[in-house]
Amino acid sequence: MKLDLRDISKSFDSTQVLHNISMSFEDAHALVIIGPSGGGKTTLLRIMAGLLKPDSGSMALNETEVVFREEQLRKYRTRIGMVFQTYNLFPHMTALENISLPLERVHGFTHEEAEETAMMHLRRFKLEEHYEKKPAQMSGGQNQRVAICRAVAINPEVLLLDEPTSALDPEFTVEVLDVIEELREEKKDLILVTHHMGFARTVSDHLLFIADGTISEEGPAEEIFDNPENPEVKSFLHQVTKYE
Amino acid sequence: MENRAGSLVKHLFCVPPGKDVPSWKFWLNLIIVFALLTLVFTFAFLRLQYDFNWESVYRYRLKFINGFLMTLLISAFALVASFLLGVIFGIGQRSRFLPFRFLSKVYIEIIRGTPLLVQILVFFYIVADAFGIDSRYFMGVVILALFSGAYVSEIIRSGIESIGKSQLESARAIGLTNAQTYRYIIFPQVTKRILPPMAGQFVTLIKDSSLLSIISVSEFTLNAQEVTSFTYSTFESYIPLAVGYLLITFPISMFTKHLERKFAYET
Repeated sequence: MKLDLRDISKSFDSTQVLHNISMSFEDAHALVIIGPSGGGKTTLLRIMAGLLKPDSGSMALNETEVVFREEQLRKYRTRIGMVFQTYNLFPHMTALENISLPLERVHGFTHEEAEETAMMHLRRFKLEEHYEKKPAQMSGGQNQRVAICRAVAINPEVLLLDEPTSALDPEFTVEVLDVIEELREEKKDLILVTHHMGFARTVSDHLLFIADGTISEEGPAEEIFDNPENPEVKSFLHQVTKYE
Repeated sequence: MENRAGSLVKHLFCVPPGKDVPSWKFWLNLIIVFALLTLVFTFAFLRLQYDFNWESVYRYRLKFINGFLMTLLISAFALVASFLLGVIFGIGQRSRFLPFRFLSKVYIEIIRGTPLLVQILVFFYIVADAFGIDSRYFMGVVILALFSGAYVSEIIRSGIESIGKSQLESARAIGLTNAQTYRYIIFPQVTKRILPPMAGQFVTLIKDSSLLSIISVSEFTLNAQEVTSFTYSTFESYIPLAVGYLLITFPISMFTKHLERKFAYET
């Protein structure tokens, strides 16, 4: 994946959440974003997903400029797989329907092809026995894995994950992290916002530390975890890894 | 000794919270309730020393049947019309076009805040008269539809608003268009969610149609009143009236409960 952000800024009401974020990311598969809550991680990810328009700045994914207008953004979103913190599956549809809906209605698959592809992904993540269940009948971990299936099934150029384990009970966290790790091993391009420092370190090719709407530090995970330059990053990492 | 009595009461009449009722317990308790009610009413009627004269009323059975069918017919038309009004003004309350939004809100507040009786009189004797409409059946349906439509609007508005923002965002994230989002995400869920309150609204509508008797719409209640005046047998006319309404509303009420259970797990 090749991703370029240039001077991205975003405010909500009078609060500026992102200040002139610029970064360039090439030839790496997993970009992980960490940092304190309220620092702008999720806002940045939502802009990357084409769900939010920045107030200023520009962005390119794999050398295609993103046009921040609704119709172009809708097309752009079809190139992206998005996984939300609270899974956001459609409650009136089964696991299978949740995955096949975008394939059939957005990506031009026939009904049979869509179901076949959806089933293939369910099987792959060992969810095939749940294909007829609705979200309320599955555990949080199963829901989130179905949500990952939905995002991966469209074969996106990049998979975005917004704190995918934050809403889960601890016992379901590992099954979701395993799936993400598996995708990374396949060299699937992904951008992950997470609070799991250990996991961030394991999966990331490139780490981004965001606080107060700016990039405080970026680089390979080992460098940042072992030798943070920025004192703020240092104290944050010290705090969150205290009991790890 | 006391303990044993207590556990017997518990065994016969109680269920732990959230547990299903075994069928013998269900019937036993239901019969007890009916027996008690029968006892109370039998006592009351016996004290009344009133000679029931069912025969004179029975001669007018056709009037009851015709009235009953008329009530069903008017209610059915009014339901369809009130559903259309409800969709229009339910969406209208969220309209970006302010005159439409305000019209919707004013309509709903006025209708829900005033008695149906007054609405019937005003719409029939003033509005319909001014526009030269003299069919009381047509106006009966229109008035009932306007009345019920205000409540249906609120049901539909709250139905649409109950679809979480996260779902709308999810629909955008997977690249659905606005129209597709309404078709595949919002509409199927709203339909299911509003079915129970809509069925409840239908029950209310059927009972409220009895007020149309004041503008001489020949529905169930008016027919019962007429039989009363022919035969001087008040209770013999009104008791079948109550039973007749129950015959329509009870199945709908049961159906509503069934729907509520069916959709409960999907929230």
